[in-house]
Amino acid sequence: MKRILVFLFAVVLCVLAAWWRPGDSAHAMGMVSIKGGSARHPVHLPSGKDRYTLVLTGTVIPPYQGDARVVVEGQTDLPYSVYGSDPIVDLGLRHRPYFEDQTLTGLQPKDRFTLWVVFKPPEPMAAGKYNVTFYDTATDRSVLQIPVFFGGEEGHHHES
Amino acid sequence: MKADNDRPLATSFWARRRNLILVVGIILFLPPLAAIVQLTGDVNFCGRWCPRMFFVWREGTTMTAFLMGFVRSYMGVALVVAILGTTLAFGRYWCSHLCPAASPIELGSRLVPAPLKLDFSKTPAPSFRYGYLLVYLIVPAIGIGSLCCNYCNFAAVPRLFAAPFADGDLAYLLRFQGMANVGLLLFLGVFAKGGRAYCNLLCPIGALDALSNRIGAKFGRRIRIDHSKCTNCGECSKVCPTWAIDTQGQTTINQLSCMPCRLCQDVCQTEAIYYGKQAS
Repeated sequence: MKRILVFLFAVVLCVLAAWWRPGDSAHAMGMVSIKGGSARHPVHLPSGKDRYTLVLTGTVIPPYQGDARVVVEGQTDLPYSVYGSDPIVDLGLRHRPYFEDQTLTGLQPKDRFTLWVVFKPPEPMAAGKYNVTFYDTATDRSVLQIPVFFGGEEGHHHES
Repeated sequence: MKADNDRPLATSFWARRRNLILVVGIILFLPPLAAIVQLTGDVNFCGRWCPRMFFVWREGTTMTAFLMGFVRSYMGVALVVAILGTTLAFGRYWCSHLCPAASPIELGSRLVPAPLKLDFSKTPAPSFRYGYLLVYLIVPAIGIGSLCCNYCNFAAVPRLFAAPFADGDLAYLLRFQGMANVGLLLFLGVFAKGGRAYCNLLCPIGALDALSNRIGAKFGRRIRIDHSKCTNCGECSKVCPTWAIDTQGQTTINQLSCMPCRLCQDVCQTEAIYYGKQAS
């Protein structure tokens, strides 16, 4: 009997844990390409937080290669920081793009990357639309744009 | 792996060198070095190395996208296949000796004074674990949410190691989900008696590995008890980090929770506990 109760308790607890979202972070996926790239889905984050974290994973679609500057653009200024996911001690075992000075450097076809975009609204965010845009540094053309909506429905559920 | 049925614990490499192996695993798999992970072009266990997401079906996923998950996480797939395969024959050595998500937590728990430790041994671990695994597999498929990624020690532990050096990894931790993961690692790991409650209750790989351990128990090598030598003193039960030993009546080992850490063998005064195949 105890085993059955513990099993049911675990099921209920885990369903609640899986369902509940604090809404201060989301995961976006995108594909970088010379045709402007594509986002798998827009990001929706609820309003009212003073800090949001967007995990941004992407793939480079051939034949694009180059360096891409990452900026957040929108209707008002929104303080943000972008961080890369480079090895702490790079052993140089494999080619990989690295993130430096807000720029993903050395992107090659089929490369994959992870960035962390941290938004810090000076006051609790009400609503607004922003884009995380990747500009090719050689041509200044957009190679990926991820829409980010604050307010409205809650963020995409796929975390990382 | 060398058979060591008839040899006392002190001569077994895996028993004598367990602490060293735990540390080597940390150095090879976790930042700042993460050499084995870097060999494949990654920096942590997300991406190619993720051993947990590829077998989770999400609402709206097409068969093509599901199968692409296996390709995307090919190192994770290889790791899980290797873990389950070796467990069938030799027991859960990945869990007990190699898992870099568990090693630092267990080692950390040894630094916590015993009076501060939480004892979860009254919880029937398999019941909780397979309730968790059921939700882990079913809930994403019906679109309620997901445990995968949101609660993941394979994501949290590498970032704990990297956070002092990298702002990106610190950003992972400075979110509710990151803090929840650290809280679980502390509550069910560092402050848990034996340091393995997280492994025993909330790890999907551990849950699958335990099934493999149970299935292979008939023919594989496992931690076993020689009842002709056992005095039912209960010392083995006290040190078992996965509370797999039941000393009510005749002492038994639950192969759905046991991993060959050999701590029980270490304390057995009568050498009644051994690692080997089932006696014919």
